[in-house]
Amino acid sequence: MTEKLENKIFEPLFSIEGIENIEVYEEHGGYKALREALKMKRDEIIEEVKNSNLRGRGGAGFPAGMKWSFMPMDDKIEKFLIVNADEGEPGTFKDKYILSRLPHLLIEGMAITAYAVGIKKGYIYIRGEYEEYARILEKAIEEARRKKYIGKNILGEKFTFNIVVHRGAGAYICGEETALIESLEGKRGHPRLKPPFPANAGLYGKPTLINNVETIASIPAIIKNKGFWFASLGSQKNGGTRLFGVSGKVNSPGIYELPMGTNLKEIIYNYAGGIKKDKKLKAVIPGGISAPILKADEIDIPMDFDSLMKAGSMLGSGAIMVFDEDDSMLEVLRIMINFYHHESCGQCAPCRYGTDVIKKLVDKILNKEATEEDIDLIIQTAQSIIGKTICPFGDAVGMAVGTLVRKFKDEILDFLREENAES
Amino acid sequence: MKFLTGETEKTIKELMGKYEDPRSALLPILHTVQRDYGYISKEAIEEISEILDIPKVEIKGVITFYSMLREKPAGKYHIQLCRNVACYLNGGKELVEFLEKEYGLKPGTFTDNMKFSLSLVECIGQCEIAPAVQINDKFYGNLTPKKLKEILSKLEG
Ligand SMILES: Cc1cc2nc3c(=O)[nH]c(=O)nc-3n(C[C@H](O)[C@H](O)[C@H](O)COP(=O)(O)O)c2cc1C
Ligand code: FES
Repeated sequence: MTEKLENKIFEPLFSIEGIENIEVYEEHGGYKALREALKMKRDEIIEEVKNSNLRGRGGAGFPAGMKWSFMPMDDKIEKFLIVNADEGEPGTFKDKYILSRLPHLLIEGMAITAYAVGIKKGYIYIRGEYEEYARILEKAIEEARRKKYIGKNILGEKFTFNIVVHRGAGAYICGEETALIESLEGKRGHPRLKPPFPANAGLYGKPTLINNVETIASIPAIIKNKGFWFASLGSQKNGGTRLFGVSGKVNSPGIYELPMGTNLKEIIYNYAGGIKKDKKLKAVIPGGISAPILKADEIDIPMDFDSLMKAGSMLGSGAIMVFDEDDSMLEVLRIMINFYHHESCGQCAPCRYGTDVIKKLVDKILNKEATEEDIDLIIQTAQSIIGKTICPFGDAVGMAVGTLVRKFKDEILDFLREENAES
Repeated sequence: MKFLTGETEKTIKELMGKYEDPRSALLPILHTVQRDYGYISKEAIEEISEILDIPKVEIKGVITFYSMLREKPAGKYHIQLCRNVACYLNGGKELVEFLEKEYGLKPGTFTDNMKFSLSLVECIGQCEIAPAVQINDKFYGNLTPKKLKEILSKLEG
């Protein structure tokens, strides 16, 4: 049991009573990694992160070390660190556990990151609904400041770093990094055209490093145990463990920290307790609602970025949503398109019109006024959004909706035929 | 006549000092005003516009963009009920029906005594305890109509 826990980063800490308080965190080795990091050369730290094969936990899976090395190293340049705690992808609830239970792990990770990249100011952009967790963060930041882990001359070194917690106000799109920056600048959250990338021109036009909560919270362990150790926990090119969040029709929904590359079937049946009431599994969304759905016979697959990409889906936020035989895929489609329609920022016509057209077609199906051509039109419309928008939101709509309708077309047709039988 | 006074005014000044550009304080300021006054009124918008030197229409544009910000009062207890997949397929829909039947509370409306208001929202990050709601800043999960009723009765006092 303990042997197993040593290969995990978060779970052993989650189980410690009072770990959100700085004294308890310190008792369990907290802020040791920061002390160590401050003795290292900055490029040595970045090298460790590269060796770790840590890939972004926000969704896209971009190698963290590489992203860091895109930042200008000149210290005279004003630079920013932003932690993305927007956690808006439906099905996702993992960052919540870090924010509420391990605020100091996140702060320590931020301080190490800031030191390595030469940053003096960090923001945590947290979704507005997480007001309770924002207060926990504020308290933890105050504790860390008093103990000189952040603030001026950290641990007596010539290193200064401050953190501000910034609450969003209810807009899914603000999880997208450039929309987040716009939002943090006090504007509507409209994604920006890239390039320039945030590493060149981000917050206030200054070089900005943006990483997800789980990404940054992995940094202290990488410094303590070295990058190669972290890499060895996962699968090829996918270092570390991942906080998988399982929801829906399983016996034990919740978060499970498991090695990258753990088989999806194993997660559902061995860890999350299998399907409720011994029903038959129908489908799984493996990485938040934007990850194309897998049918029951497609879940024998390693949960890493590359394997899921190959299967036509994505690991995304690691949010696993499980559906059983009783769940209507048409209801899933309805909820999905209402979500995208509501959350489209409206900036790009293909996304704005596309979601509107699909929503109307889905309503037509629900009213039993649709034909098979209407179903095909949904697939075509979804396809037509992909690649045509400023940000990947449009691709997500296209992929997620298109795949769902393609894979469950028969179920939708059956629904339409039912009416014919009745009348 | 100044509208934003006392603690609110003090907080606004503090918030502006946290950022390299004071305009970044707009969302936190709007949160603060909404917390202290229940909603963001025309008078408040006018004053924020002066304080931050941003046109009023832009502030309105920001308010309408974000679903948590409102220009009208909500109930003393504002219920945000999740309508996304995990919740809606696992009992959330029944909660919506229950609120309408038991309290006459439809999405976007109030109870007559202004105690409760309801809006349907997207995923609130509580999918493992679906179906879930947020009432003011607190989350409640694994709900059934009966449990929700108990919670609301307690709040009603
Ligand atoms: C529509 C949309 C929503 C997103 N929402 C989030 C989010 O809630 N949290 C997050 O960390 N990343 C989110 N992302 C990804 C970010 O744009 C960005 O890639 C990420 O924060 C980078 O951090 P990472 O490399 O550590 O993953 C979203 C992306 C898109 C396109
Ligand atoms: S789906 Fe309801 S909280 Fe996530």
